[in-house]
Amino acid sequence: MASTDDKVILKSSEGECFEVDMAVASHLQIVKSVLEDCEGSSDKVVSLFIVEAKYVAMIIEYYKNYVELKEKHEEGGFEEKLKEFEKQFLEQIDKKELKGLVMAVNYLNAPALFDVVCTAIAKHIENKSVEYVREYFGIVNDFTAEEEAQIREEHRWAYDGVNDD
Amino acid sequence: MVKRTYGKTEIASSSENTKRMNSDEMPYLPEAVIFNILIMIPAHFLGSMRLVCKLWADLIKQPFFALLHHQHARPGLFVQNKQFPYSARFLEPSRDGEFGVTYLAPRYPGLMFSSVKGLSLLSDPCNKLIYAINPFTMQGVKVHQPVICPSRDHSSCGLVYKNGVYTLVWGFQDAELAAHFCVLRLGIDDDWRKIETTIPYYGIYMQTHPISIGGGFLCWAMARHRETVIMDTNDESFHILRIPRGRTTPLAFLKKGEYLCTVTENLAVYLIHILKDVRRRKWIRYHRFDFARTREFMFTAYLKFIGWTSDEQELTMLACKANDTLTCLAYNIKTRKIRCVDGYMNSGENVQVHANTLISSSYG
Repeated sequence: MASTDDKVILKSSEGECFEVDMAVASHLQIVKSVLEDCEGSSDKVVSLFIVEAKYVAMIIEYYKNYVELKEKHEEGGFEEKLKEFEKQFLEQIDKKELKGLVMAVNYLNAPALFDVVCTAIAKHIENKSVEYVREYFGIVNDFTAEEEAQIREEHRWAYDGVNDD
Repeated sequence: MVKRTYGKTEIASSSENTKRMNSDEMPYLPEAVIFNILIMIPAHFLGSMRLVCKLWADLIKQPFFALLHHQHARPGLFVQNKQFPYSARFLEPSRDGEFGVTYLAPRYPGLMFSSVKGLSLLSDPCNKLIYAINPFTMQGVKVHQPVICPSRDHSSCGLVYKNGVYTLVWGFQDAELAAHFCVLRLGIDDDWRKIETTIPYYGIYMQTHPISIGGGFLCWAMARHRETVIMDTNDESFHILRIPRGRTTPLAFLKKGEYLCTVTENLAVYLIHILKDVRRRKWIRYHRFDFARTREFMFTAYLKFIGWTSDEQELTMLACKANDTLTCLAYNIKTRKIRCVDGYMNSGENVQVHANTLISSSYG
């Protein structure tokens, strides 16, 4: 496959290093622009200061499969195969970790995965109670009792179809 | 420096404690991320999301949010009883494509006959009213039918969305059967404005409501004439287009994405044509659907087509069986498989393709 020239090293917040193909890393806009900025330099290490290793690993796994599937299914069927993989990919991620992952993906500016993770979070919280959603995101309720009652009144269409979770 | 190639085992081994981005310590996600999560949530769950905190309530309230949210909304089927339209059930596809049912009971003032970009037209013929409302938030306006229109018979109404404005178009036939048209821009005009152009006697078929397609066009189906009258709402001109020849006249005129589509039949083989370009009058043969090869064929007396759902990939239809029961089926053009959406429809029900959104007529 590709020679070592086509590899780049991504360094997580803990200092752990991941060697990745350029084809994979170029999906991360931030890595791409950093590499373009220091073109010609032999040092191909990109520090992702705020991203934990576990998230770096997840993101690399996603884009590695993304690139492979795209190569394999050039004539068509790529989208279906990718959907299949995405489902499998999301199953192995803890619901709590989705938040960290979306932050990491947002920071690395990787649009395809960003949509996938946002959809996964949306799916997870959509039928949960308000209390659950607050707890999940660590949000403090900043409404007064009157304000809350007013919003409830304004939106009678917000019926209760909530799961206990 | 430790060089490591990526491997699955490392996910487990990398849980060191020197984390700068620990999910437990992270109080808030950036606003942009929250926004992108919220636009993925179906409209009927957004009500409770507004109660989470002020920031979320503010995000959801923005018209810009409603517009973006609409792009992710998945069209479902809005079902009302023709005799008792006050309540409705909404068959909404989930992400996996399975339809779930929501019961809605806000006392609808009439039957839904059209739904364009989240806004629906409900007809109340007794009071000569048309309601242009969002059937989910119940926000919207009521409009009297044009005074010059003699009766509700031989008249029809359509809705067009373009550049942030919803326009109502009313078409009717006079005693000489010439067709006249009036327009009213929601939130801008106070009353109907009659268009000078008329279509002289043509035997035009004004009983079916027009279909709104992309680019600001409205299409009146005239199945008997194998033609369609298309109004270009940009310059208020009218064009008469021949529709592709099948052995029979089209069974249905439907909106597929931004295009008009027709369904014709010959011996249980259905042909789907799409009007690719209105100005060049270009139709393409889009799909051939051999119903006789499906399991459902044996029990079905006839099909009535409703519209396209599930990313425009499924053609939903009502199958009337020999014993007079109705089943709602969905045919997937990619997998060529047919599935049952609802086994208990009845002939007194009115079905419309509709997407639940937060859009209101005043948003521009």
